[in-house]
Amino acid sequence: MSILKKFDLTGKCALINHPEQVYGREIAAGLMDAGAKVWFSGPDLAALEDLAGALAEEGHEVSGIFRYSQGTREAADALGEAVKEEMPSLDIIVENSSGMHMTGWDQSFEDIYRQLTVTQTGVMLTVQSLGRVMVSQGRKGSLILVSDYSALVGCDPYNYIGAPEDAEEDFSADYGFVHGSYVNYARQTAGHLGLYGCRSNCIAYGPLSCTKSAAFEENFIRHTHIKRLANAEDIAGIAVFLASDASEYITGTTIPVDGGYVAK
Amino acid sequence: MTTQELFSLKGKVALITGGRAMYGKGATLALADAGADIYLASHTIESAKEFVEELKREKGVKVEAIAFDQGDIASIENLVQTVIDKAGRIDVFVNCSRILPHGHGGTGWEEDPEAMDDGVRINTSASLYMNQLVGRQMISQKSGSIITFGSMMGLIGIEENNYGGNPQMAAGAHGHIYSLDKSGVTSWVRHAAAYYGRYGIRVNALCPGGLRSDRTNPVFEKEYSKHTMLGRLADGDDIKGPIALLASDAGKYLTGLSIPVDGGYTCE
Repeated sequence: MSILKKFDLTGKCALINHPEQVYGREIAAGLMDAGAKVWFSGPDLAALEDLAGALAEEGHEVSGIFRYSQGTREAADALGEAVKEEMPSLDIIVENSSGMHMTGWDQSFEDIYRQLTVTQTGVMLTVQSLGRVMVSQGRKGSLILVSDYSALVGCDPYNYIGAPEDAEEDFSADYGFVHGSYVNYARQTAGHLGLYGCRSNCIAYGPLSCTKSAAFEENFIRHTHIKRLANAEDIAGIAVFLASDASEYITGTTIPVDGGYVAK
Repeated sequence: MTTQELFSLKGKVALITGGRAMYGKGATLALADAGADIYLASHTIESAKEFVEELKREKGVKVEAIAFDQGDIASIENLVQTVIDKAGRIDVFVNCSRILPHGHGGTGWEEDPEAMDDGVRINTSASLYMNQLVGRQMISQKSGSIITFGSMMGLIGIEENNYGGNPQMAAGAHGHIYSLDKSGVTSWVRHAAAYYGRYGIRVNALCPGGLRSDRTNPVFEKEYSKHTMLGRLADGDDIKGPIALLASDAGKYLTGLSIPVDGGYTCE
């Protein structure tokens, strides 16, 4: 098979959980460009419909939307059943919940616990339920856990000089914990999914250019090898690769997509 | 200062949770050997009190047991405030207490949501909150060392061969919560080191491998040991040196680290 054909996602169906969070839109467009049919799931139907509408204007038609409030087994199992009923297959799962982190370091226990019920318990239940559907099909499947560079390194205080709002957002109680938790979760889930011919990987994205202040951007790119923040194509390329058969011998790993930030 | 003096914790106040058994016991013994004043927080206060008496007798250190329940936030707040009221400061915090979210029925991939919730509520959320409470005190002191426990299972995935084809043991390894939590700890220490560094506070994790006990399955011990460089499980002494290093001024330029203490298991 031509290597380029291995990147082709025609005939594959993907579910993106929480596509409204950062990176979700770019991943959705990328998977559709590569030929996949894409479904969305998330709690805020209006936000998902708005995103689907915006993507449609660019020529990317979302195939369906599941309303899903992550955090309980009942909801996760219901999503699994709905996916089995509506989607022809489940070849690609993109778990994109990690963007829902807190803002600010000092938090009450209740707020931390409430947040982690969605981004930890909820993610496990989503992966458990959708993983069950994926392995039951006897097809090669790919789970992609979306994280960011803070999974691999701490936030450098230098980057926040002159960028207090970015500092308040990134130095939150759960930020490093949640992003980093997916690194070994990719290895762990790869062990189970591998028994069924399916894969699991994590992407550690660098910041997307439109989401940060000018001061942060200037500081951050000084520490990259490729002197800029990530753009939409950077986000999409790696997602298509990990979703496709071009990466069929890659599992359990975390790939930084950050212009070389964690490489130095 | 001599190297030996750098390892001394004389005059330092240490709070340790889960310091009565398994790795926690080794950590407490290390703090005692280094001369720290110790507050030992435990879910099992009677056994902790026995251990405290033994420490006083054999090590001659100032040590006190405090009952606490990591599943009860008022208890956590009371613990930290009690130590501050009694000692006026906290120089070393060893966050070692973890509940085992078992006993809910499902194992492996089908782990029960109750087990996941226990893990996220008690091991993750309460632990992060407790670090914040201690961190506030350390900020006021402009110094401190937080040591939390990751695991080699937060650094690598499943090795099926370790379970010798025993489906029950293997199922345990396929669970979700332990790996997710321990991986988060490894990342969190870098995150917290970045935040607390400006206040002179260091944050590190120890990531131990399997500890041999009288309950260790012999098949597991044999198979697991093959994957270590040193050919054995950990014993009770193996954690002591790393604890003394990270707690003391001997480790005063170490922060944001997750140090595997696993006989080389994760370096292959």
